[in-house]
Amino acid sequence: MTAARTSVRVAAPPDVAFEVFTTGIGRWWPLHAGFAYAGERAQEIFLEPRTGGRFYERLVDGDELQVGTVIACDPPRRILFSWRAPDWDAATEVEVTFTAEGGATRVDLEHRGFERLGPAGEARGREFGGGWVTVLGAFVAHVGDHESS
Amino acid sequence: MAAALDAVGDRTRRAILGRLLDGPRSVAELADGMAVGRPAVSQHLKVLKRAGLVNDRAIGTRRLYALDPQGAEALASYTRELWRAALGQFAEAVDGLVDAGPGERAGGTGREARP
Repeated sequence: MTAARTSVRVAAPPDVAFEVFTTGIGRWWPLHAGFAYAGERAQEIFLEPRTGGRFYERLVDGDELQVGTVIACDPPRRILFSWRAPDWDAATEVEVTFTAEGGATRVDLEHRGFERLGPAGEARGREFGGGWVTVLGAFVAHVGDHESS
Repeated sequence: MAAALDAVGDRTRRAILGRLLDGPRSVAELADGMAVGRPAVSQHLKVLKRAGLVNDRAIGTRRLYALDPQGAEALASYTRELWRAALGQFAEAVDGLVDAGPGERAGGTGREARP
């Protein structure tokens, strides 16, 4: 399985970390540093901490662009949501767990399922690359120039 | 595989990847209409190849560059770096909240906990 894993430790208990990660996502998500599928049109981002909740961007004109759906939510320990960019053929998954370490919290994040994008992408008739090409294209198009060397 | 992030962190390389989304291209075709010349495009292609994002093959006298089908791994690596950056922001937000709280700062100074 092709996955991206990363962890961070924050100086607050799990309930606070979980709340900031979900309801408070607008406080930290680098929306204007390329982390938005709507690009410059993105104004806010939301992650609703309940099963069936939505992960979406709200645009300056009031439109909404849904990126995913919450598959499982077990506050303050875990949230699992799907992640599917507008032009992807399949959804990837993001699982975040919050583990108490003393008065702090270790946050482990896994973004997985990139291999699912392969066959679907090929079915679209891409000559090379499979579906990841589509994903990369989305990133390339939306990451913007903030990190250009 | 942080190479994938470095590889797409450059504007010209992103432009090259963008062109390759439409199919295989030669260096000359890629350089056509770009602000940089063929030697620079060749250098960028080397970086992309090292990062696992691009491969090449000879067809007659032409060498064609294409997006590598194994790029899913490179993409996951790229995604990991994006998340690392986002989680850094997240940790700062939590810390800011704790700092602003009623003097009850939780212990722990280590920010990064890498697997």
